[in-house]
Amino acid sequence: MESIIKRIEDEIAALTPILREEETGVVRSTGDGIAEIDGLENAVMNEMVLFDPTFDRTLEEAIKDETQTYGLVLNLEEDGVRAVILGDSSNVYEGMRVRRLGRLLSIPVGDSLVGRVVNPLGEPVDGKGPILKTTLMPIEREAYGVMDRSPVNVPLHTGIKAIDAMIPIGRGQRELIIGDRGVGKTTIAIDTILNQKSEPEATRPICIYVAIGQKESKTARIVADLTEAGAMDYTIVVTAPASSPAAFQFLAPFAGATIGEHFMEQGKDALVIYDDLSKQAVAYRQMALLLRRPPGREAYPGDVFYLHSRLLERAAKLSKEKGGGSLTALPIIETQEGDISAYIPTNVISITDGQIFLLADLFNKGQRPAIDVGNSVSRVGSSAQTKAMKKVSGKIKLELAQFRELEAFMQFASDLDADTKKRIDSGQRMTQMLNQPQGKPLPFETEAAVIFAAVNGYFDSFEPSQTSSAEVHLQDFLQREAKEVLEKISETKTIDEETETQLRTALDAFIKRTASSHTA
Amino acid sequence: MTSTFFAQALYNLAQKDDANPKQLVKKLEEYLARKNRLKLLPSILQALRKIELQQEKLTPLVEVANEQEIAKSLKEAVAIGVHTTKAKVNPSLIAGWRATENGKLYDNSAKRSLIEIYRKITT
Repeated sequence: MESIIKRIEDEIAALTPILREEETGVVRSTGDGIAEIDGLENAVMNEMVLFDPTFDRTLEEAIKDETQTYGLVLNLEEDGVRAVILGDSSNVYEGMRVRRLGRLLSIPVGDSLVGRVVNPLGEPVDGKGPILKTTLMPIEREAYGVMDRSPVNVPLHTGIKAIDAMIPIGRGQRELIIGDRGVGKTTIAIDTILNQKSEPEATRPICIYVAIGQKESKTARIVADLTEAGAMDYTIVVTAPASSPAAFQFLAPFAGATIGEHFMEQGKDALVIYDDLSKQAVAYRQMALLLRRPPGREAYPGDVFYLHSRLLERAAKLSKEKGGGSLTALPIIETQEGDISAYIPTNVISITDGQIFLLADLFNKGQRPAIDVGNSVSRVGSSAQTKAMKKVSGKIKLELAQFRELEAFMQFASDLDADTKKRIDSGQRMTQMLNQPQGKPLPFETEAAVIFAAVNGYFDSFEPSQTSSAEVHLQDFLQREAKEVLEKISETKTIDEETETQLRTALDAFIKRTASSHTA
Repeated sequence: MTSTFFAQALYNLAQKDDANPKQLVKKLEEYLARKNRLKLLPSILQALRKIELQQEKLTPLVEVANEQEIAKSLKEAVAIGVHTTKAKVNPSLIAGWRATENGKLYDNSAKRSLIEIYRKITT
């Protein structure tokens, strides 16, 4: 305490006011999170400004209230600028001085953000104290060019069988998760984060979950689930809840991308999940209309496509010369009544490298994850699969396509020929096998083993409706009695002849044991 | 938008040395009547008030902490290019002076320096 007082005394004794020259403006009017400012003729687009409350206050008042409210210049006009207020609008009043800060909006990034929950300005909101040892990075950056990138060829395992087998995602890819409300979009995203725990620490991606316009209770529950599973050790949460200003909901995805790029440029892998971009588009629309920008289709501003394209282009797999790091993006879009041909969904579908389409009908029928395999695609494809997964998953999509065609005939089951019945049963078993409970992602070697069993007919001795429970028993069996086979698949990432023989032996033993337990 | 243009034109004309404000207003009324746009008059008046308010904020102003420092502060302000001969006393500055002109702020006050010291120590 005494040292602080002494320091203050020394500073004041040596005080000589230094002349500072700054460009300032005056708030002409403010409302709805937007401030119209007179002056600031030399301000640039996306420049940060500071609403300075100390100008009209005494020293005592200025020290008592340390609130600093920033703004972001988004409209440059003839006699002034318009800025969005990044914070509580009630702190800004007409006649207030505004100072240019001479820099673009930047946020703190660094390893010390891991495990924390922050707002789009990088300020902690989890009550765990300040975040130290960070550097500033601009929130809007140009994406890497073609020559700085390398092809996407390293898998990002979600731990969800249906996705890893049929819609594989690679590190550096953008894969859209799209569907109506309540069909399991966030579940897929969170399970992907949870599954990264089974990756070796050296290759485990840093996960960034960006909650845009979500209920705070939902975000709190997600953080609690991640903490319980130990996933917060490698996860950062950026939150702009529904009650936050539209500017925060607009900036949150860019903040997430900036944090991810920091790790990518260090040669590490990062995964960023934007949940969801529909809400960011709505927030951007609100801001654009308040900024008096001309509305376009569905009242969105004309550059709403650019909003998402410049965000998603920042996901990349960098070349070896640039460190070889990657940023994988899983944007989420909410549709209305399953309409994927609406404005924002079609925009984002055209930007991303594939989509995972979730159907409410399938969800209600009990197929979870409710993936519409026919309309879902990964444009990276098998380049992002291990050899083991490629070997076992080749036939699944075709089988399921054939099953879907025959599904309509299921109602006339008694009149079907044996071959058709066999195909239908096989399709039903496959569908059951691909079902997976929430919060239970599987390591890829277990996925490969289970799918191997399914495509090679090891579940044929079970009724289609029993396939799910048989699969769970198989997982337990393999963990207990065939762990070395799983470890070999995990190490070599392939199922060679020897491994296949060992796996078949284990599966035969499983079938025998199950059959004998039934007869007993 | 049109009212703003008229208001700005009227304001610019009124700033000239030989301007006669009453005559300018009369001419404006005649012009608007000829063009059948007399309805614009209230909004032109509103826009004019807005422009005057904006200009008020941008006119040169020097503030000093106390009356004894007026002469010295004005001299220093003029030396750096602030075009004014008037100063206002603002005790909240504690010491030194502060000037604004054409969107630029020149702050040579003790208040600003003390706030910076406080922030440096507490963060």
